[in-house]
Amino acid sequence: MSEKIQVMVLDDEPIVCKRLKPALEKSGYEVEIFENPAEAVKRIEEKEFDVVVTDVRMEDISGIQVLERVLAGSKRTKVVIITGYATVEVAREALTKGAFDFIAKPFKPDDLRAVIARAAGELRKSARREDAPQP
Amino acid sequence: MSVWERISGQPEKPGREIVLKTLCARFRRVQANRRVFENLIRDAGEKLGGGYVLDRQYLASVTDEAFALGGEIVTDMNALSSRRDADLYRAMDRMKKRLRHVLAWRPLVERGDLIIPFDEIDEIEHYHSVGGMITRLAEVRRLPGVLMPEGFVFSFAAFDLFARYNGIESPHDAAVPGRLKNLSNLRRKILDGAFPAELRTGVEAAVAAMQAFHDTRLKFILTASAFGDEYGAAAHGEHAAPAYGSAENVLNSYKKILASMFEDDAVMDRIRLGLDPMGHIAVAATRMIEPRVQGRVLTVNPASPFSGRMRVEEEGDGETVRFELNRISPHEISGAPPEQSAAPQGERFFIGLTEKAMLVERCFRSPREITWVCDRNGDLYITGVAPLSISADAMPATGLADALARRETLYDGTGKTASPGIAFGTVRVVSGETGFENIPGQCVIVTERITQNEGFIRCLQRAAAVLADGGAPDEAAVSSLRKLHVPTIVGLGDATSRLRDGDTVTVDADDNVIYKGMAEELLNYQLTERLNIENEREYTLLRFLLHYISQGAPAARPAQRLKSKKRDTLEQVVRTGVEGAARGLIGAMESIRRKLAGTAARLEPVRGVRLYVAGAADSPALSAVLGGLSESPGEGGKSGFPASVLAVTSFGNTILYIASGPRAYLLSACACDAAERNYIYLRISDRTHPNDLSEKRVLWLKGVLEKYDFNVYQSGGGMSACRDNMPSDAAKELLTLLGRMLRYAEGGAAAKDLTIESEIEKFFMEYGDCHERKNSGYGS
Repeated sequence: MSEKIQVMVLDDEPIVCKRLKPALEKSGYEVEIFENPAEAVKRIEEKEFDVVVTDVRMEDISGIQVLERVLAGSKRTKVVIITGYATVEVAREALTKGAFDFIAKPFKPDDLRAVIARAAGELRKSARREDAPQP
Repeated sequence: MSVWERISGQPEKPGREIVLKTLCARFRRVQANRRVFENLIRDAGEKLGGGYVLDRQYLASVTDEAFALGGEIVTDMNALSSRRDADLYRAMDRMKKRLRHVLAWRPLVERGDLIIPFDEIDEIEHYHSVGGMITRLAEVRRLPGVLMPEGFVFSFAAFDLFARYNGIESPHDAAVPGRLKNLSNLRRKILDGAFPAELRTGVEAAVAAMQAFHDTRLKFILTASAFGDEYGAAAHGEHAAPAYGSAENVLNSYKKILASMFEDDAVMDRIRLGLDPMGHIAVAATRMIEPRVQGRVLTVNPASPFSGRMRVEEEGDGETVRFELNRISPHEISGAPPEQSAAPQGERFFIGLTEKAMLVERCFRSPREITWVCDRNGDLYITGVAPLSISADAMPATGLADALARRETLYDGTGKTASPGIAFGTVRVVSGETGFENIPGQCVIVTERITQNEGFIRCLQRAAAVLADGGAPDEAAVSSLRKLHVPTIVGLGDATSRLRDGDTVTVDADDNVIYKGMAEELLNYQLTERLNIENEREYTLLRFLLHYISQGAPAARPAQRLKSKKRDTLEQVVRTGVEGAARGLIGAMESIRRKLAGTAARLEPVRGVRLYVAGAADSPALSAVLGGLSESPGEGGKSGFPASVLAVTSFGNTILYIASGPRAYLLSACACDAAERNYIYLRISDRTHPNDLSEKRVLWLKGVLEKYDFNVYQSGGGMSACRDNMPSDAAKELLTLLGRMLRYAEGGAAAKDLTIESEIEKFFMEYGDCHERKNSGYGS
């Protein structure tokens, strides 16, 4: 695991990416933003991100599909779902399919940072376990 | 029409009695929806000022939810009221149409004011009439100490009217999609165009008023603005044209500007940006200031954006003098103006200029290019404000997070964000509620708590940031800080004792961190990233939405508001709906009371049915309705039962009751629907008082109630009894019984008339000592 947490933010509304990129970079994360889910999926195939933050409702590819693609490629990547259509059904589906957490829009950047910090903590813990000498 | 018919929409069947709880449930739903509506608006306001990440989806859902709630309230109101109010539905339809335009980012050209005085322009109110550049320029006028030349604006509607009057049509060629007509013909039509009388009259009146005020023939400067141009969607063209002396000259210059907006490039630009090629053009005509000296201020020097300096340009004798001033501490001027400056008062003039420039930058929340003029009296005017973009690429490559980690912090994560943002300044500690006077601009005010003190509010406009020992982000006083975009952290605990006057700090109210000294990298981040975010269209749209849904607090005189019947916002519709529902419910209760008259007559002195709504005091409009119907408005309060009450129904925070004699407090009989059952509930207090029911009376009453199949039980503070589905005959009988008891207890003529069942006679013979106490004064 590289020293800096690699975060992908995917949302088809430009304002969300614009707002989150500086806010997350300020906290020391390396952030790549995507407004097009197809491009994001292509990037996921090229690079393993530590955390992927994705919207649910997007044209062509939904956030749930992105979640599935991410987890199919990398079990360690934590996927955080952000959505303006925060219903119990969506939350249940996302969490059942392996999302790390679920945040309803609108939210404060701090809310997302707290979730990413938690995800980073878990990633570090599992990295330490993997590095520990086997008996 | 009967109550049942109103509510169910079906004819009343013989023998059917409207169940009180159905009415109350309707009204309760109206109130619940109103509360949800108010919370929704409050929450959206918090989202606007609280640094949230939001998108258009959220804007659409707020709009839909608000209209759904409004619709339900109006429907319930119509069900409760005897007359259908279709106007409310029509008003909501108008609002929906307007908000659809707002959300689609299209101007709403309504045939309204053609000429609007500059003084009257409001950022939100007139955005869709005159566009962003002019409204935001007009906002600058409201900044403390900032002078702008007066004038008036030709609205979008004026252009619309002029175009229609002269048969000027869209430059799109209808026959060939995507092709433009010959624009030179269109421009010629504009330049040869005549003015409709109402537009000409409006301009003549505005020019005459200004000439009369200044007692001289004025020169005007006309400046163009088009819908969307503050977001880079500029309708290119000639943006300024002078006009000398007369209304005719002003009108001619107006035509010149309009024609320039139809140059080929300008039209193509509009098409490229997805705007109507016809454009929505407004033109401001302002008094031209005779300059003693004039120039520009760039609040950030584009050549070195992170130097903490602004660039000032001064024009004179064909030469332009350029120099830099300290933008971060304008009151401590550094980088003094050159000696050849023609500005009066030397340094003091430039301190004032830099302070005003910073106020303007904060007003727009991003760096600005400001044109200024100093007239022959030495007065400084701001004559133009344009955006100044700073490229994030120019930002030093060092990682912000790493750089900040090396900084010394005074507070890190302590306190709560009351208003987000980042600012640098010199600390000024203020103790108590005084001492806010004479605080220089761009200071970090450190105080014990956020107050609504007038001096404090006034000095906020010039403050860089505010830090408070106590307080909470949801305090009412904090909202003014958010409105003024002053970064604020509250609940720091010991800031007034820990920070000293003259300390320099950088406040990061986004993350509740206070850095010692100047954290340049954070201020640069503020310039390049953060400030521009708040200028994004979504935030502007949310401001519009909130404005069109709710225009703030109700007027001070509720009775007048009720008469005015204004239905310009959804909030006004909701209020009208709630008031109408209350009236409807009161009317329905009156009808029920009449039905119960046979029984109620025995509960003398019955004062009639009243409606008591807890929390009504918070709604002046509702209080006005209720107050008008109350026979003794002083009775009752915000909580609890008034003393002389025999309650008929009680639920949630709405209590409906029949008022009876002064002794009725002894028995609070409530027909409740708390558990959604139609049942009667009686509560007998065991308060210690000479007139309270003695233990034996309670025992007797218990017996009576049990006879009527009541479930009687002891509960905190007394005895309670209830039963389900009580037949109306039995209920009437019981109420008669209780009424007789009360009348007997009151004594007088009523007592003599008492002809009652043997149990009651026995009861009062055995325990009837009430006559002796009838004048004790208790219960009056």
